[in-house]
Amino acid sequence: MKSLQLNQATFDFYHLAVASGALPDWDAIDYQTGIIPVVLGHSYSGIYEVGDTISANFYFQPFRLQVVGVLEPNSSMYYKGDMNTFLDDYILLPYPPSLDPTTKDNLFFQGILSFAMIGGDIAAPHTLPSRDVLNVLAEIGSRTGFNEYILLNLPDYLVQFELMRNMIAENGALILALSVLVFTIAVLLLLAIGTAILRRRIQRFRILWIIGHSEQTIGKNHRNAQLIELAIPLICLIPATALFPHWNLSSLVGAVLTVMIGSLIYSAWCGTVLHRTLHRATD
Amino acid sequence: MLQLTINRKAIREPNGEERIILEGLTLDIRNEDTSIAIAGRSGSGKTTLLRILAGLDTRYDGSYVFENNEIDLRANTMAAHRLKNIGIVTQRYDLLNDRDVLHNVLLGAPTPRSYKAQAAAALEQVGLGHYAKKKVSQLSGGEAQRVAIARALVKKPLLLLADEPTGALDERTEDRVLQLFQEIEAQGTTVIYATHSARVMRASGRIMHLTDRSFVSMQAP
Repeated sequence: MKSLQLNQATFDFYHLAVASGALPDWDAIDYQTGIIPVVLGHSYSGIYEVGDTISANFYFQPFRLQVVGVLEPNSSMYYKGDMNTFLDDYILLPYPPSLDPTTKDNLFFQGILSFAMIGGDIAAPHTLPSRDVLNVLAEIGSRTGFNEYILLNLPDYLVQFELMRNMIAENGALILALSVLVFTIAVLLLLAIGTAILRRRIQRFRILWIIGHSEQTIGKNHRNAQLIELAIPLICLIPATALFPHWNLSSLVGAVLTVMIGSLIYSAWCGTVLHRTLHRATD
Repeated sequence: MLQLTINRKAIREPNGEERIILEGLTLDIRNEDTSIAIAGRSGSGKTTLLRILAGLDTRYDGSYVFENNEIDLRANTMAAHRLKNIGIVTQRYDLLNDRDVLHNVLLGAPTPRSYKAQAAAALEQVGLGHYAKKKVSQLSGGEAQRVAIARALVKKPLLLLADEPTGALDERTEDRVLQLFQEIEAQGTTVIYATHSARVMRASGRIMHLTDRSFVSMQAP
């Protein structure tokens, strides 16, 4: 006889229903009694009746299997890669709601049962997007403490993305605080360096303005000097991106964009200070 | 050469109050003027008038006519006029201390690269020909001032404006500087001084007295 061990969630998920008898009383299942209520596939209808008892060895331990119901014909479920595994030839053994205490006598049986109950398929409606499946898994993981797991046959980037997303969600406040701190330090550092450079250069621009050079000429002079200053970190940064873990074109583009946006902000700020200084020299 | 009319010029005092100066001023600088000293007590508007003549201050009600052309009172237009026609020696000299003398002099040229010969000539004129490669920070006050004068002369301006040119100099150095200005005047550049110094006034072709509010008189020294 082919047998499958299922829990209540599986029965419910696949809407397994009986043609005769009843589904097991899940809360009453107790392996220690030596009796396991079973549901038979529809092919056994007429061979066994509800209430019959079958003697069997289950994980090398003798049990009496009591037939409580017979499945509807053509009942099926997903099993080992087959979306429609028909259960007509199977005998379904329900798992108990929880494991019994382990003793020296039942250590072997309880060990096998434990692994059997832990192992299994995770099923989800086929309409559910894989990202949502990952969310459900992450939620189960955080609820049960199984935070580290590997999902076979799923693209790595999807799992990594989801793990990162979960990490961000769980440590949102910390990440936000760190981001604000790093950003503030970077901006203050940039402004301090910019002020020092500009203060040194502004005297030259003030003199050029007093002598009669136009604001445009001075601005051009300033931009040329800035171009060199900004080109140096950019040139250094491009080969440095090769040291990034998981280097790819995106990281390079991201680094260049970051420097360019920073440069634009810095340039605009310097332009404002320059304009103000020149016109203060005029006042 | 230059006709300046100021109907009204307001300045803001450090305490925030507005004060009217140079009201109703008409200044006619003729081509034959060798030098004019602008005199008056502190706060009378000497430096402000000098800045207006330089086009560094354009916020007044009036007109600015140079060589029979009225110049628009906009900062950039005035800057172009200043670059072409006016040399300036400021009270603080405004030099780049970490650069050499020649570099500082070339700053005064409209196109520094093409003015190297003129810069060398200007340095010779002020007696600092051998200091071209010396850092400004290594110069004395009088030498620094002569660098500022050389910078103003490099483009051979029609008008040279000097703000308190001898204010920080000892008597001997003052004499040398005044002699230098007289040489410049002799070459056809009109020099206008804002000064407190009686010696500078005496050396000037005309003296213009300012009171607290307005221009009072123009006289020969």
